[in-house]
Amino acid sequence: MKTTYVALVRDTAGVLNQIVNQFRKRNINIESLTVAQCEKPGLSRTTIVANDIEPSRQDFFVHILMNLVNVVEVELASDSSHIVRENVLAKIDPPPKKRKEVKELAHKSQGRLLRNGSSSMVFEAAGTAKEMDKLVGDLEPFNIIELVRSGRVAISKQGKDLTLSPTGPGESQDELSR
Amino acid sequence: MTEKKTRITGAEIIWECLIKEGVDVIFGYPGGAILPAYDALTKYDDRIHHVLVRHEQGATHMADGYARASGKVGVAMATSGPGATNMVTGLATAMMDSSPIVCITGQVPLSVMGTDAFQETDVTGITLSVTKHSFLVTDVKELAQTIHDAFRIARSGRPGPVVIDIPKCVQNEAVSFNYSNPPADLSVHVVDGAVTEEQIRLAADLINTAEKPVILAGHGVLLSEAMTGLKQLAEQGSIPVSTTLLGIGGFPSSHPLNMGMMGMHGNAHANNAIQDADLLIACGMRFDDRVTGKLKTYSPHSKKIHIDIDRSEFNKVVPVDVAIHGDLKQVLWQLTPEVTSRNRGPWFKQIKKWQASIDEVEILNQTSDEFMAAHAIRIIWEETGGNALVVSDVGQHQMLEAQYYEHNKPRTLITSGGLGTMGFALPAGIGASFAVKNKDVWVIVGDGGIQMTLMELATVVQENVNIKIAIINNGYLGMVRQWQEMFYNARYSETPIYSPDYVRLAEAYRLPGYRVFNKDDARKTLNEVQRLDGPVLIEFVVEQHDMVYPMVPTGANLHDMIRRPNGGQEKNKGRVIEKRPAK
Ligand SMILES: Cc1ncc(C[n+]2csc(CCOP(=O)(O)OP(=O)(O)O)c2C)c(N)n1
Ligand SMILES: [Mg+2]
Repeated sequence: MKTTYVALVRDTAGVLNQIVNQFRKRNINIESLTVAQCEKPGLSRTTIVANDIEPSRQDFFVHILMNLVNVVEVELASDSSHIVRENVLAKIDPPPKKRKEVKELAHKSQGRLLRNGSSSMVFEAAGTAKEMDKLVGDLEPFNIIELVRSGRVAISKQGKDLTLSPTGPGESQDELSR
Repeated sequence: MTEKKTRITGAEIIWECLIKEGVDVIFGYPGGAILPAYDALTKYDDRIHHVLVRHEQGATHMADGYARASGKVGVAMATSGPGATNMVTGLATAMMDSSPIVCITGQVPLSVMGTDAFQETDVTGITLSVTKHSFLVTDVKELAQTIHDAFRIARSGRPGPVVIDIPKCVQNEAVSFNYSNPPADLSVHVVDGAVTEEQIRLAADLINTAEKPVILAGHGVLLSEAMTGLKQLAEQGSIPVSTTLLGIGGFPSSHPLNMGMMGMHGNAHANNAIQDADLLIACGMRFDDRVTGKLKTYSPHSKKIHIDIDRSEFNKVVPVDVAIHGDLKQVLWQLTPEVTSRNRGPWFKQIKKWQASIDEVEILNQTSDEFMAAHAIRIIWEETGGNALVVSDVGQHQMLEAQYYEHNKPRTLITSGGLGTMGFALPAGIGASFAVKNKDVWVIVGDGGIQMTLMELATVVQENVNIKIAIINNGYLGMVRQWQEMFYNARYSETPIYSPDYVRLAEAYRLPGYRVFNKDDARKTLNEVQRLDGPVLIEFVVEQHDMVYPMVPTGANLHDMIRRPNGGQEKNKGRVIEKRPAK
């Protein structure tokens, strides 16, 4: 089962290697991994999406990661607890008469065109993984030359200012474990 | 506070910090990338004793043996490249058995790192999977803090090995060093337990309503120093105790509630009790496959309480009903007062019945004048009054030691359990002997295992280490032979093993050597060598064909044990190794 972990880690050389190693040595493929600095100085927040972890083993990885010296906090991201988003960049080369349709798609999908060159266009969008899957499908007729997906990033809904309904925009309940 | 700042080199900082951490002995081997540290040692060797090993693997096992015997952190040192890679087996051994050691390795200078420089290896990368943590120190200003952190990580929570890789240029660099200001206790986080009253109540309820409970005592009992707490819990609730291999000594062997070791070569009545129990109370143990047998049928009717300092152990292999994350000693303090005393007559009667059935096939009760490994070990137990600190290697003799040497005190058995590292015993015994000055240290090792690290005999002599080395020579890689006999139709592929003349070998190393062929000789010789101060080597030439019973084959149900045949073991199925010592 696809499982998403969000970890707060020390921003230091080798920390990703330490995390990834816990999955690698159990022969688990990491589908996506994002990491960048966060609101806390010296720390980074990382989102790890791993494949084929039995539901009964999901907590195990939380504890295994917590045992790492450079890992400060780990959450198992669930549908109800987190908002999960993904960024897509697509370089496309549509036939000239279809360029207008691309613009329409951008509008419809809340995406935008970052570059509108004579030989190619660069399209950007963000959303849930499911929305991005659909978008990539929609882009296919426009001749995708290069596709880059950021992998998922997740943020927990909990926090003092959270007045929103438990389900965020564009989110479906089975999104995370899909 | 007076600030006393002096400029000293990274190399000197290493020794300053080790002394601050209370280190007075270190096991190591010099080389190019660690030369600055060794040079600086000349200023500190009145406060730290350096033991020159013969192989860096030995240094790690010595640090490990020292740690297990003393409860303190053991320290080893090596150069970069081959020195560091030689440490990997020792690190993995310490990792598997939660032993706190710190290994300091030299590294090539930062200026050439990553260029395949002479004797460069990616030490932090290589050791990633076999350490609790590995540090690469790139700034001499961080060295003191790193060393402090390394010790803290090694001994905190679930202990384990830590590597500090220090480039030569960092050792050479001078920096102002503040003697009076010890590093802060936290640039690393340490996992502490969080025990709730609710968990204690749930556990106590399970214990108080159980008819057939069993306590499973693991290495955590020793690591947490929870021996007294364990005894109180067992006595308070009238609960029989079985230990893992590494849990031996955590509960007195002579205690009427002790059923002895569990698992693959555990006591039949202990295994039967575990299988039949309605409650298991797992204390600082991790349900290793060598103690559970087939998981599907493992203790099928029992509820399970698991107390451990490492949360990742809960439900890892055996699902548990109540998991208590915390320091065992403290958890037991909280738990035991909630446990009501119970009469468990029928349960003990049943266990007695199982026990009677093992006595029938007990090798010590069989009348034969054959000299078996079990006899040799029993005689060592008798002659040492059960008071030695025993360091056993890996194989049949290791299991026989666990069965026939009774340990009443903690930290009197040191052995490589999780990794099963042959060659561990001699160096670990050397290390242990630096931790216990008032105890006899006995190394019990097979003819296979001794040949893996026998170069350390030179270390024994150079350091005049007071250890007694008992080589159980059965002419075979006995434990593998046993599997071949049982599961590979007695095809003894590559298990007969030739040994040197150990008595002459001892002589070559200039240490007293003895060879014994029978029980009477063994007793006489042991009596004699015990009076000798300093190292001694004794070879016990024993029968080749004996096996360790009972045995739960891998993947079999824990209760389906192969038992010792009542008429004794069939003889000489295999090729007899030529050039065995002649009587
Ligand atoms: C380094 C290492 N290599 C191989 C093994 C596999 N192994 C386990 S027990 C054993 C035989 C040990 O023989 P010996 O030291 O003579 O002890 P015995 O079983 O005969 O008492 C072997 C080869 C091991 N545990 N460790
Ligand atoms: Mg042997």
